[in-house]
Amino acid sequence: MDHGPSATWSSGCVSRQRKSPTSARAQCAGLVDVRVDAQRRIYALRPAPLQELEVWLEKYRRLWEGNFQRLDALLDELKTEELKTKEKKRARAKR
Amino acid sequence: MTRVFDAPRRMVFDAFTKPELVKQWLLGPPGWTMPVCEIDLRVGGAYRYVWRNAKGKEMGMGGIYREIVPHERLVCTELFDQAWYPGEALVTTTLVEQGGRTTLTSTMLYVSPRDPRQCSQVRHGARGRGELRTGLKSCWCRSNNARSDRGDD
Repeated sequence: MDHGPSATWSSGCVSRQRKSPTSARAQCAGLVDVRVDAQRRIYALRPAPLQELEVWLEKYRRLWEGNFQRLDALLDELKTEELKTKEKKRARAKR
Repeated sequence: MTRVFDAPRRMVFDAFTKPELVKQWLLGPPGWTMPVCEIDLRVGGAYRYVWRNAKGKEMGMGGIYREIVPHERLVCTELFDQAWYPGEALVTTTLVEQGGRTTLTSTMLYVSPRDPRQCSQVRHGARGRGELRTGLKSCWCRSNNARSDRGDD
């Protein structure tokens, strides 16, 4: 990823007198540096907070994948139980 | 967050709403159990989860159900006892079944401050419940404003 001020970000954000909600939020979150050039605002991505976000996302993803793998196993159990109950009912109906 | 489960959605819904099932899988990192899991599955009803690790450390979380469409959709608020973020989150969970498999989509809406001054206010501000509600409400207003700014409406 190109973090320099010539990245896509800057091309989307220059020449605006009024700050867009997105660029305001990005600045608020410390994700971008802003350089004022007369009427233009040149935004540059700051890599450090993005890397922090990446680390956090990876932890979050692992945590939920752990939960969901346990849920996979539980759902398998529930399906097996339901099948057994149905078979029992069918066997009883035949008798 | 999206995940596909190899089960019908009524089963996935049960696994999210029946305490005896939730306790078996919603455990987080290894070593944690869920000794408290209370669910009052009604609109306006509360839920409360408490996790505990081997050292006895506890972590609690809870909220209120806002919308319930059985087997299809759940909307609830979510707040940790020791929240590290400002405001209540609003969590929307939808289940779509196709060919016996269920796609779960979970969307979490957090309060997002608008400008740097609000950032620090939110970071350092008190976290009383009244203020939380105000915060969430103003967040919705802001997102509505942002939508109309873009001309989405």
